[in-house]
Amino acid sequence: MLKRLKILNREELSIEETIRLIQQGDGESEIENQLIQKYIPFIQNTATKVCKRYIRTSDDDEFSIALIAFNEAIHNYSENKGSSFLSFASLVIRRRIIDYIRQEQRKKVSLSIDYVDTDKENMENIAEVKASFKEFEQRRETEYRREEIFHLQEQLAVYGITLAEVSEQSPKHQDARENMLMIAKTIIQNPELKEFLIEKKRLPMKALTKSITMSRKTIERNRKYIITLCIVLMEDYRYLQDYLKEWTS
Amino acid sequence: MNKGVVLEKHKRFMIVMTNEGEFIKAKLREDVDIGEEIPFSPIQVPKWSTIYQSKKYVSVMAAAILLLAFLPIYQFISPDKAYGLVTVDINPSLEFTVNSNYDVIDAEGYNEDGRTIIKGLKDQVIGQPLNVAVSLLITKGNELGYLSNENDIYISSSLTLTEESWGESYERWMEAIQQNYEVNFITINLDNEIFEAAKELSISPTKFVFLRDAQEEGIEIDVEQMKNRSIEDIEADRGKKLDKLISPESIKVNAPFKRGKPENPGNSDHKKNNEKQQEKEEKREEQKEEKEKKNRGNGNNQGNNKSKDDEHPSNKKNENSNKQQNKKEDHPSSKKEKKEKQNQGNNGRQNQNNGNQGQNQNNGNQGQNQNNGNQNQGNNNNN
Repeated sequence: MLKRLKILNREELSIEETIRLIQQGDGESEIENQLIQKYIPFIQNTATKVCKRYIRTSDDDEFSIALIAFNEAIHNYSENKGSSFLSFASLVIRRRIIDYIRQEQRKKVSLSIDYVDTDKENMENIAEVKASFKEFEQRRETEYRREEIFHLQEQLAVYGITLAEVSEQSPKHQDARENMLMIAKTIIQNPELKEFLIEKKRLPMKALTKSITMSRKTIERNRKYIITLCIVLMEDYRYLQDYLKEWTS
Repeated sequence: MNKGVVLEKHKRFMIVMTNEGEFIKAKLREDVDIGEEIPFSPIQVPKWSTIYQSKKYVSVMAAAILLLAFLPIYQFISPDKAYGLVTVDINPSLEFTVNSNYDVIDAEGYNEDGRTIIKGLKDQVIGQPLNVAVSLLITKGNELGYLSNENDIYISSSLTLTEESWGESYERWMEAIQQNYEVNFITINLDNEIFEAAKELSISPTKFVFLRDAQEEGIEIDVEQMKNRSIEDIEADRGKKLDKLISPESIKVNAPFKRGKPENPGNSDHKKNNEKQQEKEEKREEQKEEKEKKNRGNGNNQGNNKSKDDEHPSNKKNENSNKQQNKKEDHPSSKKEKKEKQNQGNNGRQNQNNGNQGQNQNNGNQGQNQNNGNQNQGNNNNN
């Protein structure tokens, strides 16, 4: 009875708090199961997006992979990994499914009836091996990045921003861009400002004008660009961030 | 070359992010996937807002709009604008309107006949140069029976009919037409004023010249009636010829088929018509005779074959026929001559008389006819 009450109470908690509970306690598998159960439609939906075909919960391998990924996300999530748990979980699911699809493709090749053992001959040339390995890495990166970009588009849509608009607002001058980056960093590093952005879906103008010596007009003119930068830096975009690392660090 | 990750692909461009945090619209490449890092070339899209804001642009655009407003309208319209008029009076009277390229853009009839003739011709004529249009008109007029021999065709124009405006040399064109039809051309150059005044009355400008003259003399003329009369008739009605009414430089007559016109221009219409009929009758007779001659020629041939056995009767026959022939035959066509020549060559003895008579009776006959005579004589001697 008491336990049940406890569960009910916990259901009213936000996902982030529930997850913190799960991560803290050991015997909380019941809550974990409940959470997963509740988000099956979300997991299914995300898997469908990545595969670009309908994923059934009953007999698609991709769904099992997505489930495992979601579970992994629950245990790995932390406040500084993305704007929300669901956004983080979505990214983890996407990554895992890409990994799975790649793995399957490789299997298909080796199981082919016409399989000829030509790979070994190629292996002898170290330069070639290196090149093919590099190419493989690049292709994998591209796929990860693509999923991150789709995720970014979805996030921007919540703010009512399209990438076309961002490209029109994007400052041409390098100094101007660096200033905007500085503003974005300020927002993300300050929990209050970050909270404001995620909650209200707009820039905390008042706080910004206080802490930054830049005219309100300049910030407002580059509003969409700054928000985009915030999302890129805030979410768990490993590959996009890696691409921008020279500039952002 | 810039490099960037493809973020979005649109219909005409794609959005690329550089590793310096720049989001750029780039030229679309079909072969790349989203997420790929590629070299790209940016596209500059001038935004309207920046154009409005810049004073420099505003002044430039204002100047451009002013230029657009005044300059090109004339150029746009002029190709289809009436540039000149050419009217043709056969007696169906018609008008061709040409544009500055001297292509026909409109064709209209001044009278009933003109409208009938143009009805089936308009579509063919429009867009053609003048020489083609008027040639088509003459062919069509001939088909519909408007064209008789020795017809006068009055072509009046506000343009000077040069090779450029007519489409080919006007003189050569007339010659070509005259090879097919026995028609005379009277080319008249008239002022635009006359064309305009004639247009108001919707009468052929050539006829308008007569009308104006009559009005100056204080004579009332029924315009409607005048429209349907041929210019020759009008000349007769008025007792004046066209070349008296306009300056001689502006009228050119090309009339190789001109028959003898009455000496006195003051002859009455009736009289003139009689003469016309007479002439026509004469002509018909001539044609008949020519036909007969042909038949006789054939007869000769047959007769010749026979006469190898029986000389005398055929000889007589030939005598008679040839007499007649030579008397009437004022303008023998060379073709027929040749035929006869052959016949005579084949049978010299029978043509003996023929040859002699040809020499005696027909002094006017020259050339081949005489030669025939000589040949015949030669044959005679041999015999």
